[in-house]
Amino acid sequence: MTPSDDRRLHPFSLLFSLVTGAWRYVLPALFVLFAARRGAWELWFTFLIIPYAAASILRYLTYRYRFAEDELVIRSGMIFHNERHIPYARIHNIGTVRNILHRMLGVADVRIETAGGQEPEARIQVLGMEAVDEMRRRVFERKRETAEAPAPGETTLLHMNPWDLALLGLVDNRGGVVIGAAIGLVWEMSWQFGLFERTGFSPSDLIRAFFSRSLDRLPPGALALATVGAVLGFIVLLRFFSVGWALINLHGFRLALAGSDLSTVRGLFTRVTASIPLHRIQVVVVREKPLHRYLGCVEVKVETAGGGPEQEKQAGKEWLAPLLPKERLASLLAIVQPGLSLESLAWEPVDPRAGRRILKRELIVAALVPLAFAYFLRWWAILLFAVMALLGLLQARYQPGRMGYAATDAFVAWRSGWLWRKLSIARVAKIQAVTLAASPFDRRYEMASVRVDTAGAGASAHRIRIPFLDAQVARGLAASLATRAQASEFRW
Amino acid sequence: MDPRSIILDRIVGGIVAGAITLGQLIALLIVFAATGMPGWGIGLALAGWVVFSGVLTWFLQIWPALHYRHQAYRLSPERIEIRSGVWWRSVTSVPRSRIQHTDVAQGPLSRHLGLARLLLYTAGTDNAQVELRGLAHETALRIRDHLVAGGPDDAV
Repeated sequence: MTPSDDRRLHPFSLLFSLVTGAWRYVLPALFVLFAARRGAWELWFTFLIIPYAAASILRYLTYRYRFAEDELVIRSGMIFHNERHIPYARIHNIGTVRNILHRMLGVADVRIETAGGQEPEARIQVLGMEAVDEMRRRVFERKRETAEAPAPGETTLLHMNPWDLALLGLVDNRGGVVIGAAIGLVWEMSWQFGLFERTGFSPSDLIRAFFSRSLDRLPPGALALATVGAVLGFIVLLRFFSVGWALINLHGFRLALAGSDLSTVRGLFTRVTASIPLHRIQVVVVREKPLHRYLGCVEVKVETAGGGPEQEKQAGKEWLAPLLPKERLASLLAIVQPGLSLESLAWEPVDPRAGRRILKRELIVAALVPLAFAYFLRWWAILLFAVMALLGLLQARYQPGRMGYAATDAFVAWRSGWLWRKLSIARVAKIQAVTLAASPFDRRYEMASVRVDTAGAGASAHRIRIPFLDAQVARGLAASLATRAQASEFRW
Repeated sequence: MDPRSIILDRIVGGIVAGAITLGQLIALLIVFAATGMPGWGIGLALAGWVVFSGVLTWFLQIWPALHYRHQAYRLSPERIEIRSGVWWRSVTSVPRSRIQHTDVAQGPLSRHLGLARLLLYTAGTDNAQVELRGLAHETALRIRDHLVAGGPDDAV
């Protein structure tokens, strides 16, 4: 495509940066203004908004981007000039985040992600939707509409309605996140503005008062009942929040395929779009929690090159299918990873001695943990040991059967887990390095583990790490994987 | 690997040990001054400190030799393999085509001893940086040239 001339940010950018600034400064400023204690240093805080506003205006005026022959050039800054070149080939995702305000005004917060970056390479706030389209077109050299409505030539692979999402909320417990965040927020704001000192109000006092009053009045049996009730109520509340989270965060989830580009859209208030070119998928991760199995569903995510640990959960690790009936898994995988046939994978088991080792490990942990806390637990420690030992036994019995790996010419797959099952599939062409590792315990049994490194594996991701392999087998596997990886060309 | 790396590691180890023991001594002295422990308490603490420093220094001196014995690399037309680790051993193979770029680094001490570190950058996450420490400077340069030349170009 012919290079373009300079483009600028959408005029509404000013509005958005001011709004974010205001949120950070005006609220505390207002609180300070209405507080009893005047003239404190907090008052100076309010004056900070002026240079902040000036900086935003300056940034808006000086921010420019243009499309060069094969890279995106972004220039910004007046005193400190900054020019950033991002080759098109490196860009693997142009995502948009749109909250209600964005949608009302027809603009979007654009995040350009490249491989090998911990965070979005460039974050452009804000651009009009036509500008986003142009960017997508030029970068990916494909004509695409925004992923809101199906475009001609695009097939919808998965669409989740609110009932699906509610189910997801029940299965996938995110309630804790919501409550944790809420509590954290309230706590932080209160401490920041000395809410407690000012109003003579303290949560610890409250809790203490509540408990001492109620405890005195209830007979002991009722207390136990109340505790159980409280715990149950808490769990229900968590699930409730989880459903709410799913409904809001994943509202209208749509996975579509256009050409060789996957795209997802989700969100109720804040709409997030992501585009996943097929060839940028590094690993596909399929999870099956106990509740999933009960419902006959799985959860599918992909790791794309360029995602590193970020604040948001799904950065670099995109949902492909938050909840998918198991029967559809094979067909989805065949589309998403062309050439992959799930049923025809020949699963190799891990070494049979794995069970013994797992048992040993679990028993040792079961013995040590209660020991460490014996002082607090006293006789309950024995019960704890018994429970943990039992769990360990079950794990040692069932886990090895479920572990397996498969290595074909084009793919390497690894499945694990007995209750919480996990299956990872990576293309051999995406393998970056292969590590053959042996811990001192491994060496005793002449075993080893093989680890496959790919681009963009998230921090919490359970990598493709195949333990408990016979040393000889492991060596052979590592060597063949490395050879095949070298033979295949890596394309971003 | 270059045997001089043992010397390097020992020197570094010595510095680290020195810093730790010194820090501990200062901390102990502060504690003594602040709480005014009885004589035997001070004696006991000091004895403990001496023992600990002794063990630490000894360990930091023999570790480099151990580590050296277990570290090696092998270069083949298709990849480079790096073996390392004393207790937790591993062999990392990086196919040639996956090496994005390389660094040859030297600190002041390693420069003085003629050593360098070779860093291989890949697109992976765990192995985004594969490090070969304790190479002779010329060897590091040679390996790097060898790796960068030859090998198919990647579409990046």
